[in-house]
Amino acid sequence: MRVICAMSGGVDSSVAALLLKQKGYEVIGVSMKLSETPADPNAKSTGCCSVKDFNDARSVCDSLGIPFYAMNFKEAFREKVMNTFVSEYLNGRTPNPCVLCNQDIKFDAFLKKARELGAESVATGHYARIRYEEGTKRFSLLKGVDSKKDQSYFLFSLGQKELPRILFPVGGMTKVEVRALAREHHLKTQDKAESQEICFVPEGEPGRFIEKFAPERVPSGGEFVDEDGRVLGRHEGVHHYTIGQRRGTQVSMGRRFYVKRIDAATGRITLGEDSELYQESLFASRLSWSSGPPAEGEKIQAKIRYRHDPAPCRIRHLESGGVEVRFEEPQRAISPGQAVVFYSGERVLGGGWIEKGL
Amino acid sequence: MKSRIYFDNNATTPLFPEVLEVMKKVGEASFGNPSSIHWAGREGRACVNRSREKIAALLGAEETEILFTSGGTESINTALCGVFERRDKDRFQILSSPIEHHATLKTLEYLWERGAEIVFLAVDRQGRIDVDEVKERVGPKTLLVSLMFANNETGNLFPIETVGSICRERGVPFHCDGVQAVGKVPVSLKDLPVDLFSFSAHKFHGPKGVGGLYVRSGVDLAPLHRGGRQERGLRAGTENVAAIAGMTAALEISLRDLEPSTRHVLSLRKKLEEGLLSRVDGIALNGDASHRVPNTTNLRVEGVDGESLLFNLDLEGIAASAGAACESGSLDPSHVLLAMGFTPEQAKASVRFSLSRFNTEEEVEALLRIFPAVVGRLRKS
Repeated sequence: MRVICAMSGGVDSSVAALLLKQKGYEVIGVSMKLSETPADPNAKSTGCCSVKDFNDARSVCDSLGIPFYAMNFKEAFREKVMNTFVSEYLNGRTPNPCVLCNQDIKFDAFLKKARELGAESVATGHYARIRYEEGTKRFSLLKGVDSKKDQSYFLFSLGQKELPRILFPVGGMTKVEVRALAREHHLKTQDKAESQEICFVPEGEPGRFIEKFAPERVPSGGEFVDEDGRVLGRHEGVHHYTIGQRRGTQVSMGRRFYVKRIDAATGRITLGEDSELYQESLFASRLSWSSGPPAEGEKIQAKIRYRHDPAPCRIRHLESGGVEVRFEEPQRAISPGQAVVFYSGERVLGGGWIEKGL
Repeated sequence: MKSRIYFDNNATTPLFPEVLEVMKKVGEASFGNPSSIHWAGREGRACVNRSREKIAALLGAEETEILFTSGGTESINTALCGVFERRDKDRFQILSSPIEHHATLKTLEYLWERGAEIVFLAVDRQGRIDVDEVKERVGPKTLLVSLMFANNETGNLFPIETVGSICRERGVPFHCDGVQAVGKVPVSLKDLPVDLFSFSAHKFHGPKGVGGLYVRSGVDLAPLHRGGRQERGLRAGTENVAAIAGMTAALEISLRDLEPSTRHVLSLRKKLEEGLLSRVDGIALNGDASHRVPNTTNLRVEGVDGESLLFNLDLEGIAASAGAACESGSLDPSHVLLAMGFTPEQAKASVRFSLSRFNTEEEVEALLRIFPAVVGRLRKS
């Protein structure tokens, strides 16, 4: 059976390809060209798409004896991921481009390309698992076995249409095991550092990316205010800020201030102390449930950002189609634009997009 | 093991076996540095000189007019930059076309940044220029005209003789990028009104990393880089003796059998084009069908992504090409087809087959079997 393995040039996808090969699949390695290579060859690798990453993926495929292709997804990525990323920031929200990339590029456009190459399935190096449930005859998305690496958060929108056609070969392994296997098979990427940042935002500064990507849409600066509307200072534009952020909020009041609320329309950013950042509930929209929505009042867990421990909560379905999520304990810095992902233990129930903390 | 079929000869060609023999022999026997005064150097120099004589004779040039380079890109850079550097202050305009190879386009961009005025002739949907526009444009400001003999993507031929005559009448030097022409069509430089002419060995079954630039006597060029006095001071660096000998052998063989191999290649292309056009709906030829080098066909397959088409063909063992590969290896739509007025979608739906004398009827038949099935699958998914 033919499988297309998405290869980022990192160790996880290298080992994914290796495992598939060992299981007897006819594997084709593909790197997705998502954005332009930085003009400066000494620029830090931006997660993926650098020439070095492609060459690494290519050399792993060579050593596995499988074909390798670079596929061009630049236009789709620009339109579906980068544009949305910028618009969200300019609306005072904190987007999650990795979810969008999985939803619209890797498990949509790429899945279609795989079919064009005669493959029914695609594989990636994500730390997540997919299980076929005999009872319900449905596919479940599960957390990766390595809890520190689990990437199921980024995959919540995958449903019964996509899950049957996806393989996550390293989802049942720990990162340590993955590296060991890479070493054992002398894969070139065995010691490669992993990417942490958003791949197309170098140095983790979204503001600077937005200024380059859409200079005509960059907002002018605005005011920092406190909860009572008193002006505390000025800032350089809402696109530099995200809820809970401290950097760039230094106003000389002798206290530590954090971003509490962003109003893109007025350019006003409300600051507050850390203790003011905690909220008990949130409202989310555009929900997707991979095996149908859970019952109201059922005790489940939710993650409000990737680096967040799932917190116990209950949900209430709203007439608008959204949900209200009520946590047992208040959660810090609930950020509109981020995904909220629901779990029942290790199983992903689904998720949606945070509109507002309440 | 699947059969391996190579239909990408405009990218590069397989070596003639005889060429490899020549290079091996020369590499062993004539290892001396041609600039050295001793017996070893003399042998190296003799080999380079013999090669130059032969190549000059085969292309209808004088020995002193042939410059050895590292290939087409270097030849083109030398021609364009070399003329630009020796310009008079009132001549700063270079006339070219938007469907040239990147070796030309990127060099023009470089010269533009340094004050040259670059004028691109319009091309129509067939990739043709209008000779009247050349007549209008070549004037007292014109420093150089640079056009390709044959286009690498469509195979289309520009009216080199006509353009060259206009340039000559007006005293403007004319550079012709002949990379896709040499070895495919007869070229006699003494009969062509060109002043500079670039060629590359690996396009006619010679080795990579070697090529040449014809510089008509009297054309004043500045060298591209500095160093020793090799190649009459126009190309510093120890000569790549074995490769030069290999290129010479490749050119000899190519031209010796040019007529029969052209007939063979033409009949294969006819079979390929007629076969595909009759077996697949929504397929059309890009470019000017009646003015092409014999080996190239560029086809547009409606509703199909050329990238996926190429990958599928490769998985079946068939090598073809489309567009331009960037550094990472992913494909961008062809700038040639875009300049000819096709939409990005149409350009992306195009694929190029370029044949050589080594291709066979069986290989074309295999393509005719595989291609319709692949297109069918792509249109379905």
